[in-house]
Amino acid sequence: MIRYLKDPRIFVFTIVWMMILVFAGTIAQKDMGLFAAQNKFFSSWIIWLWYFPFPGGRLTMVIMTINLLFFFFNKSIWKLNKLGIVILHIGGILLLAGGGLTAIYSTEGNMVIDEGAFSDFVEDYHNMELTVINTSHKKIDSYTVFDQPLLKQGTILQHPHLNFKIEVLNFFKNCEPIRRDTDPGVHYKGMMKNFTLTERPVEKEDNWNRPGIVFEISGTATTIDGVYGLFLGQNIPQSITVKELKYELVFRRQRTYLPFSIELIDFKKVLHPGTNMAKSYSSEVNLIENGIGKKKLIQMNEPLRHGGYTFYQASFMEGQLHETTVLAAVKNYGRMFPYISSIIMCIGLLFHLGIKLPDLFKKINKS
Amino acid sequence: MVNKAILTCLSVIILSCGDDYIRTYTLPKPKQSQPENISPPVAEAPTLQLIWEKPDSWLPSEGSSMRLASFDFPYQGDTGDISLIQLGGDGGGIAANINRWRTQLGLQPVIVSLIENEITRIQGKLGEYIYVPIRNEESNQAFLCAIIPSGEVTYFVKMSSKAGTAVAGEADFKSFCSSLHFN
Repeated sequence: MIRYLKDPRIFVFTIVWMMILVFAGTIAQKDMGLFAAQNKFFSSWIIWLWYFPFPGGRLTMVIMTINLLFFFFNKSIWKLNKLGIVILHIGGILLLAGGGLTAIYSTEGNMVIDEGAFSDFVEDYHNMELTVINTSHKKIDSYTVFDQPLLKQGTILQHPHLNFKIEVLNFFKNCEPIRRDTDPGVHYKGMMKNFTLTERPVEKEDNWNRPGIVFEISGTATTIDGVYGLFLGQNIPQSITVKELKYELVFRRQRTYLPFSIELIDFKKVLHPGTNMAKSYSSEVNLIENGIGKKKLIQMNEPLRHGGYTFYQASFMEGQLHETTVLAAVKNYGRMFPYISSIIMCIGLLFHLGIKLPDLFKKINKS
Repeated sequence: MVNKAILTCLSVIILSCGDDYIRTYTLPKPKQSQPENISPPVAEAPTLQLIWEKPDSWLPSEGSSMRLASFDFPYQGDTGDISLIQLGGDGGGIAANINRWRTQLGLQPVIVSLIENEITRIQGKLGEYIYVPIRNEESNQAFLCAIIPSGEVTYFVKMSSKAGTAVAGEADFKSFCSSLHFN
């Protein structure tokens, strides 16, 4: 088996297949959108073209990594004159490992902050969450969060923290709330008494969609049991009281809370002279951690790096009372891997060149 | 033996890639703080009501969704459908809404940095608002849209009609949007 796994032809085939995937993905993203193309071609294990399965980007990279790892089972490489090649392969494996870390663990999202306000969470660009907040306590709120992979039709959502269960009846990637013409009956509660959520075609960019969810609460043996609905942007959360415990149900973009917060002191927009075209944007922020604040400036090409996150100036909104900055927050554990692996591969190549140069000079002298 | 060991290792690596999709955590209750430059609301303040001046050419109509008000603008056999809705915060933002409307009209979205070219800023009774006419020449359909921020909410006014109706109704549309205010 080792003989097959270390076969260098596997590497050649996988690298050629990756080139094809990069080409196909680049062409496809024009019509299907960047995120969908990335998921279909690069983050997938299998790509289905009609009824034929092909290896997706993730599977191809795993095969490539295994092949490179089994290269070290070659007894012939463990010699001083092959040291450069070994170092080169270590660099290649590190590069792939960094890619794997980025693919599995990296997160990206938005942090939206009004002038004078602060934020301590990042909202995911693509994924939603159904959050049940127990607001019964005086000082703290307890959150039970169900992430988007669970929000599928027919899924029962339960947790020991909740004294009721939720069955997902429908999940819409894009929907529109439409006012009902007739009374739907007593089983429909909250917003669903007056509105229904109607599915709309999914837009290719996620931020143009308005996701929504319809779910049934049961197990309370009271009038709370019934069908509820929530959609993104609904400004009034769904409140229920079960056995004297107060809950709020919120459907929102998936949130990741940070161990620090960022306060927006001032947002500045510089226009090109005589036009309304923006020349540059910058956010003067206060980075607050453990009660200690540090002033930082975030502007185009000068992000703020802290706690593993990188905050880029992405956009802004102008309101009547204040301005709002939109920071793109990226957490990437594999960020340093390309730099380190490139250096290692350069060292490997130089080493190999250094070893081979005397032989090369000898050949030149002979000729 | 070596083959079995390799297969076992690979299986463990692949099968161990699992995720937990239920998270729990506790947070202090959100602070109900007010920015210093805004006065706290008076306890018994009268409820503000949004009012407007309806153009004579518009007829009140039945709302079909989350509309605060609905009007029809009949013009040369076509009827423009005007809606007024309110959303919390910025209602999703200027760029996202403009691109959503463009997509509904079958037009390509525009990148955020070029949005400024698409909009006109007009001073109304609620303050400065954004006016965006969007037209699809091929389908002869048009939207007149206004995004009117007001405190913690944003009002959206939209007229959907044929392109000719939109041109004829533009002045009344702007006049309606500029007239929105609280009593």
